Amino acid sequence: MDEQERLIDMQDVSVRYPNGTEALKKLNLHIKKGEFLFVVGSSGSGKSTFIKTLLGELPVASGSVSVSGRRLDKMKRREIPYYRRSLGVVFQEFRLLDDRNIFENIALAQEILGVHRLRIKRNVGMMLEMVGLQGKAGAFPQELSGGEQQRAAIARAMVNRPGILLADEPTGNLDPDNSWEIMKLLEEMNRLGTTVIVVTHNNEVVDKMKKRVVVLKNGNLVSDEEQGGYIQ
Amino acid sequence: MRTLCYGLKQGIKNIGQNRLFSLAAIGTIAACLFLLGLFYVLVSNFQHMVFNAESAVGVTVFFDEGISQEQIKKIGEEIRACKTVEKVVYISAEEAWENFQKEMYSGEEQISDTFGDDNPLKDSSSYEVYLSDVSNQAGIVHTIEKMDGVRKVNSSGTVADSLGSFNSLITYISAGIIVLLLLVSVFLISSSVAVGIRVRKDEISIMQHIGATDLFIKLPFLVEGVLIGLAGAVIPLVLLGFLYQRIVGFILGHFSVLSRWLTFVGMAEEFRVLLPLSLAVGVGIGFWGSFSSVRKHLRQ
Repeated sequence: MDEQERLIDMQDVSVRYPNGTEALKKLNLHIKKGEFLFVVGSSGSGKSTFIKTLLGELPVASGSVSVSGRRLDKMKRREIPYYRRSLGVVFQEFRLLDDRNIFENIALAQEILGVHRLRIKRNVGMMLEMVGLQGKAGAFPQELSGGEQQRAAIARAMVNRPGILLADEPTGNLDPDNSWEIMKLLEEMNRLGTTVIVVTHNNEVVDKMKKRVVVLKNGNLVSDEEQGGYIQ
Repeated sequence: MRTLCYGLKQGIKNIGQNRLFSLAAIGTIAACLFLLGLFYVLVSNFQHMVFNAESAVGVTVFFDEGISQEQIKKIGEEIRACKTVEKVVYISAEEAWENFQKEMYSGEEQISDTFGDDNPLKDSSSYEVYLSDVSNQAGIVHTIEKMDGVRKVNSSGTVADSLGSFNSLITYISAGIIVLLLLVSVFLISSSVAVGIRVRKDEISIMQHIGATDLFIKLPFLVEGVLIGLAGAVIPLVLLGFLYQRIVGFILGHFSVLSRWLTFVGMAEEFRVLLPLSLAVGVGIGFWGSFSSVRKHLRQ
């Protein structure tokens, strides 16, 4: 792979928790701009650690991680918020703020960037339409279904137009129909140019979508296939 | 600027949403500042009364027999030049005799009339020296005794020493209690904010994930802390002002016989210190309490 094509470049990356557990062991992984990638593996395989490392939540013990040309392993604490603005994140439990309506939840990501109120209104409106939640702007998270809440979370993750979307078990709390809807939405984001990385347990989704699949086991990368399937 | 607006809006919203915690924190600060104000008012009034009592404790300086008026004047100037001497009053021999007659022969003028124009106290002209701090009385007495032309110095050393020591004791005790109360306030506000942060742990974590800077996350909590501190300072000030007027009015109205000793500091004078002090302490502990709690949480 040409070095310039690499959006995410992980070389010999090891990550250790304070108790000494090595959750990622000399991981080598290269992700191109515009790719759609599944990261699968059983519990304790290092999937969550992989996401947390890319989010800058865990320090890299050894090796190097480069994201969009920025060295994550050398990044100072104060630089991390600015780095995270280049990412969109979606979680299994949606993580919307219950005391704010859907518009305010999505607008928060733009408020952090200091975007003007009128532009926020326009951008949030566009995102709501994109994820099919037009007319739900004033609703509170608890008034929406799980699928709708995850759509709102995707809208929040994407409203700042990040280059990378990280999704940690995005269908974990959804029924099969809603899971498919969410995956279609992520595929749509990918089609529009965003690099999408999905950590999942959902074998059905992985097998059907025929995307690149990276398998982790005990912190090691055991398989990396273009159009792969789910392997435990 | 937008971050500041967001912080203000969200901080005010947070107070409303966490009504119970906010009320608990306001109550805590208000209670501590009320006690602080109460101590301040008590101490300042006590000191005021002690100062008045101290002012009444004078030192009397008598001169050698046959001393000239010029020498007396010179002694007066030397005494005035001493530190902590607040006032020097000259009592002539005639005034001394008049005062003596008033005190001793009031109503029995026929006895004093037997003296005619003769003044038995003709060599008893004196200076009455008043000090700003009676704890220095012994030193001043010693200095005056050494001056040329001074025959005798009368002083009430016991009263001066007792008042001086008692005043110092009260100042130290009240300063200690006030510092203790401030520490308790800081601890309580910091605990209240920490509880508030625990409740909003998820919110902070979400904001961190979507790229919020520490300042952006801290600002609403700081606004919240400052507003809580402000409210916690204003409430006891209003209460103290109201109570002070009522209580002083009641004492002066019902115990007029004690009015010679019970002299109170005016409310405007009390609040000239208490108002900025309470506001600064309230806002300060609100800010510091929330700042330390948020910083601790963000560092975890």
